[in-house]
Amino acid sequence: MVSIPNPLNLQWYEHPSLILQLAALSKARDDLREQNLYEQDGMRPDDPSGDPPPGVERARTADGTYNDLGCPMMGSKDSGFGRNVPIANTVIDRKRLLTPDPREISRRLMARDTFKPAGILNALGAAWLQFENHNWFFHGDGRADRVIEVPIREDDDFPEKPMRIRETIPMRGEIVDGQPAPVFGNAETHWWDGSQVYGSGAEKQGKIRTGVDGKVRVDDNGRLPASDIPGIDLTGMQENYWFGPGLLHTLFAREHNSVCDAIKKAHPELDDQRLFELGVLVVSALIAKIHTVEWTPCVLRHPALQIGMSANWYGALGEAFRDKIGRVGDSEALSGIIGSATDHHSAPFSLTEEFVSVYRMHPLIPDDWSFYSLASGEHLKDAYFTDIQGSYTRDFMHSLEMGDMWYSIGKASAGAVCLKNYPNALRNLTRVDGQVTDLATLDIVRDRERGVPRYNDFREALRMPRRKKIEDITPNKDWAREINEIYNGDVDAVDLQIGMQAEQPPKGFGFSDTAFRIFILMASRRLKSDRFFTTDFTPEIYTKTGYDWVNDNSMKDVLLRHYPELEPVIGDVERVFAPWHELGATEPGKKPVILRAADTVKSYLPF
Amino acid sequence: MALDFKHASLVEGVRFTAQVGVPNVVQGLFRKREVVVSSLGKLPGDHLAYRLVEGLEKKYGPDPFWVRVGGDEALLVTHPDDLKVVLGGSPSPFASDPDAKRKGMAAFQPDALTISRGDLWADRRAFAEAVLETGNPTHTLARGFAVQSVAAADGLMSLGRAATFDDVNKAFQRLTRIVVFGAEAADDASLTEQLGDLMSAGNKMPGKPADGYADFHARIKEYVDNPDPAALTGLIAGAPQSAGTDVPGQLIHWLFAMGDTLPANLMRALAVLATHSKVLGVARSEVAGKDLTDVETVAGSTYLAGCILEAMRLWPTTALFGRVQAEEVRWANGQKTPAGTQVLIHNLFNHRNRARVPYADRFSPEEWVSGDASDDWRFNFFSHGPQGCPGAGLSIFLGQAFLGRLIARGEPKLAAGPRLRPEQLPYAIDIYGVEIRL
Repeated sequence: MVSIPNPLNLQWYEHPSLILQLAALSKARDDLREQNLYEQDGMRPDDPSGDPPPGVERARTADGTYNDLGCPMMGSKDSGFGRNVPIANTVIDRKRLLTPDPREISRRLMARDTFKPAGILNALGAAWLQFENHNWFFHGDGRADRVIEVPIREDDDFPEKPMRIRETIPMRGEIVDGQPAPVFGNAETHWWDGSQVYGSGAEKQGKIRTGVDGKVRVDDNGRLPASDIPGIDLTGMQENYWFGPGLLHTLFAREHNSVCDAIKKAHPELDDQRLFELGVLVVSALIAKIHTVEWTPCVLRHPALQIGMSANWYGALGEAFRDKIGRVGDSEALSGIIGSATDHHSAPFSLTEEFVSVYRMHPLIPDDWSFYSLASGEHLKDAYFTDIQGSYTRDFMHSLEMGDMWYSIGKASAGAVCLKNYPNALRNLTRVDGQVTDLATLDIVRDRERGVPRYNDFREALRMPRRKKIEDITPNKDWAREINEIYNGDVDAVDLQIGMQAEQPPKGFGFSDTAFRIFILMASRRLKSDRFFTTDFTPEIYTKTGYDWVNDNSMKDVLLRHYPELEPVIGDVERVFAPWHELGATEPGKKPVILRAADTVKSYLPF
Repeated sequence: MALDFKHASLVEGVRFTAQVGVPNVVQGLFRKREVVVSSLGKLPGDHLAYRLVEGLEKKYGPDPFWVRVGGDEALLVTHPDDLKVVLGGSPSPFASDPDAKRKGMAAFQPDALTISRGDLWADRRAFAEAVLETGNPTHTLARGFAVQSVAAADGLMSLGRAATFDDVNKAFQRLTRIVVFGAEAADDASLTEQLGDLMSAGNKMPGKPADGYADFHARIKEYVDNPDPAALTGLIAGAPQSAGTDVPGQLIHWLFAMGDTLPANLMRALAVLATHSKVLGVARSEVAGKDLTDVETVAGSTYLAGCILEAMRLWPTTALFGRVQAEEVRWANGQKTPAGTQVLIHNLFNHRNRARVPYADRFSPEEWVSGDASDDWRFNFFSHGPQGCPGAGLSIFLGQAFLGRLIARGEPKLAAGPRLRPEQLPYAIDIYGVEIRL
């Protein structure tokens, strides 16, 4: 794309027209691809010698190997996280690991005072992000004997003093003060491969699969079976489970089985293994598509993003053009990433520590939940987040009809990603293994522990202007005052999480522009680096049935396929990740107020 | 959009209408027009229709897909799973009275079971099943029927010349009258002719009983009122019926199916037997030296039954049939089709689907004996499900006795007609051009 001069050094969204904004975004992404992809030695095991095992050309492997046939270990399970900032900028400062006091930051800047709804995104959208994160990354469980102790003040009601947070264990070596961060491993595959549904690794997948017709385990009532972890479904990723991800894990397990049925119908000769492989390919691509063209434009309502995300998937020529004409040459800009040539840009593919950081969007989750009957609309019960998560999940989910839960989560608004909106249930969370944690404290400590730069350094690494003083970060004066108090006026000390949650996002955005820079780089990279979304997104690899399935379906289709009872509440909805209307609220030819509001770019943020 | 089925293009719709829809109409929906059928039989029309649907199915299947027929889009169903949904769900929600069928059949059988709905359908179905003894391994009156079938075969063999379809049809129509009404009706050929006239009127789809229907109905009623204990009329008194059943109205369909459709199938089966010496050998060994008036012998000649079923599969007398949705239907993968949707089943393609039926174009009676052909919902010459033909068993039995006698006693040879290559049988056999020396 032609480079457009930018003498005023405007941010992309400050340009006066949509065309210029799109051009600036495109340039920003090119620069990010050029300058913000780094990796260290020892990221992944050496490539195996000899011929690749049979079948890896046509399918995703359980451990993520052989996606890149020339670098088989790239993106595989247990390989290391890369970085979006130069390695030299990841120096660990152990002396400041607990400075300023992360628990105080949690209590004063993050704790939810009142629930601030996002408005543009529903609670299903919140659950969706967690569902996706569980596909992408997990740093592992750590070790009980390797902990960071966070002091707890006398007047603090946190149940344990001190708070113990398990250290992140590097792939090799140790974290050394004053040295760049070592490489941490990802217990999940890095690829967008549906591993939250299927599990990472052959052993886990073996537990999920039925061994018949490619299908995964779903019980006779259409629910996921119990696992050996009390209260948690048998599914690919079982950490941080609650009913929202529970719904989505169930939905896509069922979708997988429907895909297998459809492909078997067209290809009765295929065996269990091939049907499973095809189900994985199709469902992962469908999840990636839904994320790219539905979830993202819903949470980023800026007009440029409405075009930009569709362009990622379909290309600038649009969906209708591509469906009718096919791809135009090999141009990513014209015809989208999907089906274009694979390209890792300036580093082999991996997810990054910075990517993990910007996706810490826990404020999306409400504390207080209300559940309604889909049949009658009547209020059934209320629940606090603590009681619908972890070991309580299955009992809770079995106390309600699936339709009632879908309706209730679709109707509820997600929380706004901003300060003072962190769910208090997560700030005092007893995990399934008995650990008591404040996730807000943990979010701050993790960034510091893993050498993720603080807010100003982070921005500079992305060529965004540093903030000279704390008041420049946020237009909210009360917040600026409190941040000043906590950080003693040192703008350079402000943690990344605090800066991002204090920042005023661009118009229509559900999260900060700072986070968005990583997002725009990594969102397209997850597609562009993946052979199965690029050169091998073809009817030959996916089968025609599978290929059409990805192209033809949307989240609404998936929901209605498995839960047709949702028709009265989503039948006329354009965005399923925006809050759904009340049962019976729709009049013929007239959209309900909440839908009309959801179609606008007005997002609630407390500025 | 995914919760809708795929749509064939406008051009494909025009081709479908021309190559699949229109030939079914011009040949005569109910009574085949000899001149038209013969001239079409010389053209590769059925082959083109097959190729067209094969291409559409490859492009839009295996799920059902929309295709234009004239001005409207109809849903073409090709996969056994979906056929099971449709035919298993007949008459509700998939009613068997699409407009064209109802309008045509109204001319000669306005109260037929196949175009009835709801309680009336159940009432008439129960009546038909009781008299035709659906599901009984052999009919109570089977012995007498076998004797009559053998006599009909013997009559044909004594013609002294090669038999034409007209001969076979006439013989079978006579047999039909005996089976349905008794010996009294054996020579009442004018009744059959009257039915033929009414069916010709039906080709024009008038939507109401044709002139002469009342008289025709009255003639049948007379036979019903004077039942013959050796014929089906003899069983009517013991069958469930109500004021709405319209017993004479039900018998019309039996005359139509036994006296027109069955002999057409038997003629084609004969043509194959006359040209496939191996098949003839196996079939003959099954019945050689046996008494074909013996019920067990006839019913036990399963290979022979397979021959008749194969002729029905290879050259379905109903190439295309339909259902209409009485209500909205949600299919397995969430697709929803509205009430009023016309559902089409193209027997010609389904029966010959060479991608899925390994013996698609071969004459393979053994598939009905030891294979799984009889469980395959693709093959719908007798339909399937609740609306499966209640007289299927009886008609195959009649055919077995008739054909068995012909091959046990005679040596069928093709005197005129198409050359039939066993490995690639044609999509159509013009029965009007076939002559068989018996």
